[in-house]
Amino acid sequence: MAKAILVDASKCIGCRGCQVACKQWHGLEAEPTAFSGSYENPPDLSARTWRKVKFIETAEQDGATRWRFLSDACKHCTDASCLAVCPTGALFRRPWGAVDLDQQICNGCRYCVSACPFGVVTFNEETGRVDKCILCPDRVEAGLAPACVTTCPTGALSFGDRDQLLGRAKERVVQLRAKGEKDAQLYGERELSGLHVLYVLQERPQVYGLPEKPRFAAASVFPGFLMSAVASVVMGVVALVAFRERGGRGEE
Amino acid sequence: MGKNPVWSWYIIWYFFVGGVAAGAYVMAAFADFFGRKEDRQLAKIGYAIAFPLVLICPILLIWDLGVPGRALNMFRLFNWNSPMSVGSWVLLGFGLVSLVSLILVLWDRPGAWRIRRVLAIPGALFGLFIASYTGVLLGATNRPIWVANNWIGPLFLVSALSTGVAALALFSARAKLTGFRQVHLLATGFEALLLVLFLQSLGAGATLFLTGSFAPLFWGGVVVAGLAIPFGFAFLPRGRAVEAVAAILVLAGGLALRYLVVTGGQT
Repeated sequence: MAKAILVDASKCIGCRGCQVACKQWHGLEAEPTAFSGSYENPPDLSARTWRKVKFIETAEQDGATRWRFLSDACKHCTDASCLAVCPTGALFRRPWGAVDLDQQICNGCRYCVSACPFGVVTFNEETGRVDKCILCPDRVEAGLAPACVTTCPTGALSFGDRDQLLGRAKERVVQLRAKGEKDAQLYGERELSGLHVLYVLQERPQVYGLPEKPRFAAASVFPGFLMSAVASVVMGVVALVAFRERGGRGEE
Repeated sequence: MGKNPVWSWYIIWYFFVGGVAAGAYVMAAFADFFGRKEDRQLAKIGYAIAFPLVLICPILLIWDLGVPGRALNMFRLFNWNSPMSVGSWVLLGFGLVSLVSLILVLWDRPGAWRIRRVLAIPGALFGLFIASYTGVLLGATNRPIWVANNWIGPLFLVSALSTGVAALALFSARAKLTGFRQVHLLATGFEALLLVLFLQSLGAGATLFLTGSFAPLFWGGVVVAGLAIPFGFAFLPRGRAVEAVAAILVLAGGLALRYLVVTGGQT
């Protein structure tokens, strides 16, 4: 049964409990930080920060500023670009949906870093390998929820069967729309054939820095090779003509 | 968008050197199959320079990974979806075939040419792959410039064949360039066409190369040095000096192209 995390952005208060719980469970160091003009910190996911809360300020029509929060990490895509292009098998799929990463096998080629449509996978300068959220397989396979979900005090994060969470997420979107949140929407149901992290958003995905149409990187492999094969044939014909048809009786 | 993979000079040089090696080998194979007897002299040089150049490739790639033993993990499995995985295996195969081709050039008996030619079939197929897969690899990412771009593979391919001929010209010693000159002239035209198609596919992103910070190297290195001057030289009276200058400019243009495309996706 496919599992998933449901992130209900409308219930997030930006406490960053999930961010810290993730660091504690996985033994990830704190990062030296600097003021970046926002309460959001650190500014990006990294090899040491696998989950973070995004702080988004939106200007409302009445002139007020409103906070939007989003607990963000790896989305464990069904069409996972990182896993598709990994040449070593370090990135692999858990039967219940997580995109896991075997640190012993990763050789630090960084292809996945460039392939991830969400900018999640990060190169770790210290280990020479990559890092990302692995959805706490040690906890999940022992019947627990991931560390971030367990610590969430507001119910913004929940974990369970993907199908059930999908139903709950849709109900929540209906509820929010009924309350006048006209941009309330679900993200992750169909994107990349389905994410294993579902989002209930109050704004369009771009407001949260989520791509409207995330792209599966490996979709370009076949057309790329096809075009190269065509160019190869063209060059073969060019060579055939050029070698055969030149000057007649030698050239010098 | 994906994060910056920080593929720097090791990768740029690998794309370039791998392309020259593959280009020299493929052009040698073309000459052996389509050319005349007089072209075979230069074909031998093509096979002979391919292997030493291919040897440089794994050194660059392992250097990039940092920990040498980890490079072996590329050979744990074969992943059709990953140009890097397929490329690792094909590079291994191309290395082995080009080594045998080199041996057959050194062991130059009357019958060796026939064996060389048979071996050149898998060798040229591997070579065409090595010349182009690096561009397909970049297309299969989520970085600006590269994302979903299907023109980089063909562009790198034709550029690799062009730089391959240039390397042949530099190493040709007393051998005449003969038919290679015409192939190169046509390849230069084809490469220019592919370059236009590549830039057109970038839309507004092309300004990075056309008018942005990369413009001097793009116009000076890729267009003028790599394409226009060698094209013009083809109509000059032939001579060793003209040929050598054209060859060096073509090689410089090929390196500039790879630098710009690889770095362009990371700015």
